[in-house]
Amino acid sequence: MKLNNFSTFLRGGLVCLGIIFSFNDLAVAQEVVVFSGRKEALIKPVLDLFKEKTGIDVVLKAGDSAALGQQIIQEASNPSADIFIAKESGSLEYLRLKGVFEPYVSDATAKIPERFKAGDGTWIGVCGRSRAVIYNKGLIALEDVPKTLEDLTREQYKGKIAAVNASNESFIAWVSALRIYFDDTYVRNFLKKLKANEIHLLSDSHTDVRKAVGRGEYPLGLINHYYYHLQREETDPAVTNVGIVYLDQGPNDRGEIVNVSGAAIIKGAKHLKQAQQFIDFLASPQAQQLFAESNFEYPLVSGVNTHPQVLESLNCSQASALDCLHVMEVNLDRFGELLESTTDMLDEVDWH
Amino acid sequence: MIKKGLDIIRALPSFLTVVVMTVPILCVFSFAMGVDGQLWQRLWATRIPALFTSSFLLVAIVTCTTLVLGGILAYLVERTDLPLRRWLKPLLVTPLITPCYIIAICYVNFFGINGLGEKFFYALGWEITLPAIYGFWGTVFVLTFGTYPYVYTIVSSSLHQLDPHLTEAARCLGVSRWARFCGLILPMLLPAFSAGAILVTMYVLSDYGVVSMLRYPTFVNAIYEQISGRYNYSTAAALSMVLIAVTVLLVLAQGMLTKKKYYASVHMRTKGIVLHRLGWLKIPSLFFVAGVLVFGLLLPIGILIFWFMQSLHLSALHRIWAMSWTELAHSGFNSIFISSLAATAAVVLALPLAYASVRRPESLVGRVYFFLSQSGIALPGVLIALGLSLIFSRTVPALNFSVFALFLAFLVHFFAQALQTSQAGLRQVSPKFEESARLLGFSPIRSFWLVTRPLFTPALMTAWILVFLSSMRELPASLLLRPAGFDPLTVKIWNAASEGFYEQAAAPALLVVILSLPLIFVIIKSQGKYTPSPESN
Repeated sequence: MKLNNFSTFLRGGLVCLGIIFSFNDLAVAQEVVVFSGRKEALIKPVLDLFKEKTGIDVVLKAGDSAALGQQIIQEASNPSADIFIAKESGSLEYLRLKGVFEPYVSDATAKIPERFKAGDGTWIGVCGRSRAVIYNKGLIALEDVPKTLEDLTREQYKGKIAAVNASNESFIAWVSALRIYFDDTYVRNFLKKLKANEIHLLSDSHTDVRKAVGRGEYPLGLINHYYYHLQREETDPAVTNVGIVYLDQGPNDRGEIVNVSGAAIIKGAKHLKQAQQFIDFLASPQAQQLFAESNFEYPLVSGVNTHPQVLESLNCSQASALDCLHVMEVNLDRFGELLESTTDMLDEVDWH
Repeated sequence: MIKKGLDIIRALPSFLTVVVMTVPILCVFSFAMGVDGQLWQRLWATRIPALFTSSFLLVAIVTCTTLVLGGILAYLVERTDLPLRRWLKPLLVTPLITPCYIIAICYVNFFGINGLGEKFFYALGWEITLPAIYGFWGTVFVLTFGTYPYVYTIVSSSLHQLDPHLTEAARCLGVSRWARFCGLILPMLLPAFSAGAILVTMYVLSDYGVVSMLRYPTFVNAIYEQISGRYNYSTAAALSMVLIAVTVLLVLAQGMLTKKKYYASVHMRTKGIVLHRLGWLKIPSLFFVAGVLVFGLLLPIGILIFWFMQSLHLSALHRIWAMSWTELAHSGFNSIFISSLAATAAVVLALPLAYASVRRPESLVGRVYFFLSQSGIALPGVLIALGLSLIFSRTVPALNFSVFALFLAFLVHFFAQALQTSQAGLRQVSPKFEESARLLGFSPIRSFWLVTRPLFTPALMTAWILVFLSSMRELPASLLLRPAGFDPLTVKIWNAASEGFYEQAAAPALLVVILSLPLIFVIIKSQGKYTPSPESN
């Protein structure tokens, strides 16, 4: 423990400084650097499978999409990332408009439907998710759960709904979608009404929302659909008594918003070949299957089935949930240009 | 003339150090100046008043609770006939081994409906409803148990050194016990209390982990959300500027409160202390101390161990997310690597500044340097990360989000710890030794090396360990500045726990605790010697 020799001390310091500056050059050829806005736990199985199949090492930085996006923009002249993975299309579109992505089209990416990828081949959707309402069956009966967007603002749900704050990407995209479908005044009023209805904004994470509803702290929560299924996977039976409702599903209703989580290659990527392999892998049936199985998301490639539990929750007899769900018609590629004004609007209504 | 030139060259390292320490803050400031008026208006109308109240309230209450708790514990251990007090005395410092945010992670899951606590009591046959810990009082609870040791250690060592003859004299003069306590002991302990209060205030004001885990909005997590969730740093910089102002005000206010009086006793005698007999209070007091140890140490560690055991047999679905041993070792190495780097650099850089401040206290430049280079400790890691990020993005983007940026953040943030400790250590080495060496014809550097250095090395070790420990537990700057593939342990803990995978967070959290354990005891042992005296703050 004792370090009496001062020169050892100094020498150690110098060696460390030496290492630090050589650290960045230790790049191995067989690797791909992935920046993921998706949480580490939700992307890890796929990365592991990729490594196993190709032998290519995945160097991961998991964080918030906007922070990673900032870094990609700043490093545009000398990028450290090869791949960017985002939770939803808004961040991808925002960065596409900044010109930091490298287009890539292949047989594999061609299998992704047009509406779930960028027209210029810069990014692909990897898996789909829709907004939904999770409810605690012990606290509220199915017939009392809100069925439409407007229901959420009703007096009877005052103080009973949990949601995420303005730092959550999926939520921002949801608000952007509403702005496209309605207009800004309507959406601003809607958000204000929700605030007046004492909606509880727990944090920036839907996991907190699903856990709070599962535990019985709140009867209702606004989530992405797969959080309901993740809650059902909890090992403790006391917290799995939850149900899911998709809003606006009547034959003439406007439907739920479906968004995609996607990926793109960074312009000037140091490991371009590996990055392309990675994108092909994400679009492959195997990876799609894994997203569907381990995270209950909607696979986008035909031939890969949605998880049976997801289909069951939708009363769906088709192979793909997207064929059963009534989807709100908005263009995903408008989310990018709206991103900043949406966050401004959320700040204005104090969505914190 | 030549001498003057030499002086400038000699002052250069110190000057550079000061520049490195202050530039990040200045950068945040200048960026905030450029924020447009409309944004300021909106922030003042929506966020700032609420954040101001919530941050200020939290700091005020936690400072009060820690002063009371730390003071009572110090008194019980030092001045009463509490049973087992010899054992309890060092044990009461041990909550420091668990970083506060880890305590918060444990309690989030322990308290609340269907939490671990309810299940535990249910297994014992009691059906109890435990309230959730989120919000203000939960945050106060966790921060109090996590930070009272700062107050406790300083106050108890001060009580330990308090001359019993003074109280004895007062007693002979017929002063009642209560009046003796209020009129004599409390004022003499005031410097110790205020030193503890400053440490707690700084800690609470810069805390990110606990307030985010417990969903209590303060400036720090509002700023963090802006940095990580927006493509524009304007709001972050504006809020940062307000936070800097709040910090400066608080530090000044506390300085004013405590500058007035300072007592010292020439004789330091600990013999002849009359212990306060607790009588019937003995058992309740013992329960009280035990309760503090349970909530501050045993329960969180127990929960971590419980999760760790569970993580060894997770279901297949969860196993795929679990952390492997190689990954754990890898991030453990990252943590140790970056922390020792920061610690080494901090000690090396602190040396000339500390030396100048002790040997040439009259130099104004030296004093200004000394003050400026300490600014990092008063400011949250979030702000330092923001400042560095702003600088690098405008100058050398390749260095932004690198190991080097992270290293620099730790260095700036914790430099003051190295500086204060080495200064306190140097004070104890009499300049006479060195002067004798000079008289014998040795050069200044050689006489420092031969005479002062050996006496001074233990203090440097303490300084090194302090910076190492702080760096290893730092959370927000690590989250913001790390490069891809370089996750320290804290990031692993946070990424798992913030998504609710508590079992996966247990292994890295326990590793942090285990690595902290021996180092903290080294520090406690040297506590009396090298903690900065309140006047040097």
